[in-house]
Amino acid sequence: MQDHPQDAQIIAEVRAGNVDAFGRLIARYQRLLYYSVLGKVREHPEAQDIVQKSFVTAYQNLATLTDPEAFFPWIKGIALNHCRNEWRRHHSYATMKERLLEARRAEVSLLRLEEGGADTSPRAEALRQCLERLEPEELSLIELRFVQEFSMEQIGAELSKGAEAVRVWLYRVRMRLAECVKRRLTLAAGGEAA
Amino acid sequence: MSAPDLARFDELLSRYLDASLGDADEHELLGYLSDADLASRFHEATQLSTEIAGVLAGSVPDEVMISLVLSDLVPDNESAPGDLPTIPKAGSSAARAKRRYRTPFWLALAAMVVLLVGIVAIYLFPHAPVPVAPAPVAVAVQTPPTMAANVTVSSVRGEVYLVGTTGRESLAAGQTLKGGGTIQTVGQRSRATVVLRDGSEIELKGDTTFTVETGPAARRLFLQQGMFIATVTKQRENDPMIFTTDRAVATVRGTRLAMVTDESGPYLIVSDGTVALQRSSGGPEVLIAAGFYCHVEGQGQFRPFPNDRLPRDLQERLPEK
Repeated sequence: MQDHPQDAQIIAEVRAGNVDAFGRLIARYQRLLYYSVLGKVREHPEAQDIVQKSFVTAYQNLATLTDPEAFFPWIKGIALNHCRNEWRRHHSYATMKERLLEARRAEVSLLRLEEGGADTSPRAEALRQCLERLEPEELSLIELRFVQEFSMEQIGAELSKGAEAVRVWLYRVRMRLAECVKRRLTLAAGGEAA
Repeated sequence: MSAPDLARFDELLSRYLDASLGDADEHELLGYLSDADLASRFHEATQLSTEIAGVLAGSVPDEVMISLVLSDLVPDNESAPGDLPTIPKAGSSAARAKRRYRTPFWLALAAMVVLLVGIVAIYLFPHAPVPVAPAPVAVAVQTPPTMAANVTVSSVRGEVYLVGTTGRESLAAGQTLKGGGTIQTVGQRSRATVVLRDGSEIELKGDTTFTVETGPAARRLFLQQGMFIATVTKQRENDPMIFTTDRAVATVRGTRLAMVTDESGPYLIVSDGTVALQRSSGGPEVLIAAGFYCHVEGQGQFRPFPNDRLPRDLQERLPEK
């Protein structure tokens, strides 16, 4: 108890002026919050920005939190609002620039957020497990594209393949990952139900 | 949907995910997205791409996030975390006083936000208005909370100031700027180097006035006068760093460049990568490749020239390769 104080205890300390205590809340929840919003943003650095903004908003509004033990659901709600605002901002920008496909993407994403915005952290965990099970050359492909952010041509040069062949291969790996994530989530849901 | 149509959709989607979609393809893909099932498939694929990149990158270390959040809460540029504003207790006299004092402002702000949301809803969501779910804490649309530590002053030489609406104050190395600000170097030998949160570095030369726009990302920067040399880290797709002067807009996705204002118009000099340059008033974008410069003068078209044709005084001010 002493080593792992309840959220309510930490929040009481923050309200009493102990700023370091708020750092403990950040350390406790920032990763979880990151994975909770990851599937709800346009690009992953935006998820980090939203986590940061959400903790700032939470601190500024901590006096309004009525149930301190519900801190995480509360800050998740704040983060979701920031996600919505980012999509709205993107929609406005894309519309202004007449980038209709991007505007449509924003509309679809907003609609999905409003439909329920399920917690994406189980998806992130399932995806991590699926990534671990990729063949080494597939993992290299994924890393070149998503970590190094290489273009298709650069990946092709690296792996001695044509850019078009790389694109098709990458799409197939993506689809397999999508199937794998879906399967794992279904299995997990079945396990919970049982 | 027939199998060939689905195959075509998948091909377009694949090209979209890899940023290799042409204009005509973009319109075709947009047409497919009127189908709810395909829109759902599109959403899942884009979501998965973000998740793959995010899972591989991971979250930032706890101590970094703590530092970022606490610096956002610091009330001025030089305050230590210990100077954080205290949280008024709900119902306390301080909270009530604060609310009383701010009521007219917040009412005005709320009215503006409501008006803005209304306009956005009317003009931008004519067919699919976005319902607003109950919110635990209202977050104003397009008004992110004050962000800080987006700009760090890494070195200073001579007279360097942070310019505000009420005056200016000296700037020191190590100082962080709350969400940006206007930096001024006074005297030809004065210098300042700032590092943005994404690691991009900008060296301001003497007699330069330069503004980093406030905001979470600090990726819009304005050169009022003088010269800077920037080394820009690779930027997110569709979210480049933008340098502006009163006459030109340079869109950068990761490169090394310099900008100089001049009475006849700004110069953009690119030494690595490619920069898209456009007049502030609009018109076509011109791509400036490494080793080329462009001088935006008059009203006519501009085009790139090799850097060895730069005016000699400018060549001398550039760092040697």
